[in-house]
Amino acid sequence: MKRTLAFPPFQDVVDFDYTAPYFARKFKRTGPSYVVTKILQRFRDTNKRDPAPSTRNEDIEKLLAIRDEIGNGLVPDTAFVHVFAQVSPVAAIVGGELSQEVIKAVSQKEAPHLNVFLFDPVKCCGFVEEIATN
Amino acid sequence: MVENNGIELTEDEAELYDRQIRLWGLESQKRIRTARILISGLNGLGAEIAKNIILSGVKSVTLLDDKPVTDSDFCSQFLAPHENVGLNRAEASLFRAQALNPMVEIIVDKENVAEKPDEYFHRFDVVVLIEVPTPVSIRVNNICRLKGIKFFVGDVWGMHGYAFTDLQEHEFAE
Repeated sequence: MKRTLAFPPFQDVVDFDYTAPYFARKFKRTGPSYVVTKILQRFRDTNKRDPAPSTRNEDIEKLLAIRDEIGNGLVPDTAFVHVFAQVSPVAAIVGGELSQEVIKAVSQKEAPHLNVFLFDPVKCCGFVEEIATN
Repeated sequence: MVENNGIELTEDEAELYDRQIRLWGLESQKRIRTARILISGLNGLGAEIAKNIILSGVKSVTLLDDKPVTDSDFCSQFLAPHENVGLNRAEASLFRAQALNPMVEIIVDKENVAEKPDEYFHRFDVVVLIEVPTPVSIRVNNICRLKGIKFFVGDVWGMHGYAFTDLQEHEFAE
C-alpha cells in the first residue's frame, strides 16, 4: 500500500509555541525533554559552544537563566546535571533512530517518524512527538 | 514514486547485504545503493549515524567537519582513534569508517558547513546536520526543501538528545 506524509520545515518547529495550553498538558505525560533541548540549543546559539565540563558551574548557571526565560515552570533544576559531552548509550539510541529514519526515507519503505524524536533520560525512554505538524 | 530504479546489485553486494535484504527486501536495498548522504558534525552522535549508514550499503557518505578531535569526544566517538586528539574529526574518522564497508565511497570534507554555498548541498539525497547553530539548520533546511532533499538534524547533550526529520512530501510503501 502506498501512502504520503507531509512534513513541516525546521523554521516552523523553531517558531512553534510549546507554551500553548494543549501542549503544556502533553508535557505532563511525556516530560520536559522537548523544552530541555530548546534550552540547550539556545545556550549553543548564544555562547557559540556547548556546555563544557571545564566551565561546569558557570554553564549550569547560564542554563538555569535560559530556563527561567523560556521554560519557567516546565523544567526542574535537576535537568541540567547530565548535559556535558555525549553519553555513549544515548548517542547510540538517538543515532540508531536517526539512521533508521534515513534508511526508511531512502528506501521509501515503512512509515517514517513524524517529526521529532526525543530521549527522556529520567524515564530512560525515547518517544516521537509531532511538533508544528497540524 | 515508489518504483524500481533499474539499479542491479553486484554479486558481492548481494552476498554482503544478504541479511538486510531479507529484512527490508531487494528493492529497498537497490534504492539504498544509489543514495548519497552528507553527515555534518562527527561527534559521538555523528559517528553512530555514520556507522549505521555505511553498514547499510549506500552509494556514498560525505563526512563534513571543521573541528578537531577533543578529549570529550572519547565518551562516544569510536571512529576517531585516541591518539588523534587535535586532528580534524572527519579526517580522523575516515580509516575506521571505511573499514566498516569497503563498498561505500567515503569522502572527507574539512570545511565549515556554515560557509558552504547553496549548490554544495544539491549533490546529496540526504543531509544530516549535527552540532550546528539554529540559523544554519534553518538555512540548510530551506535549501533542501527547494530541491526535495531529505533533511535531518539531531543532537546529544550529555543524556539528552533529539532528532528532527523533514522529508517534505514523502511517499512510501508499507
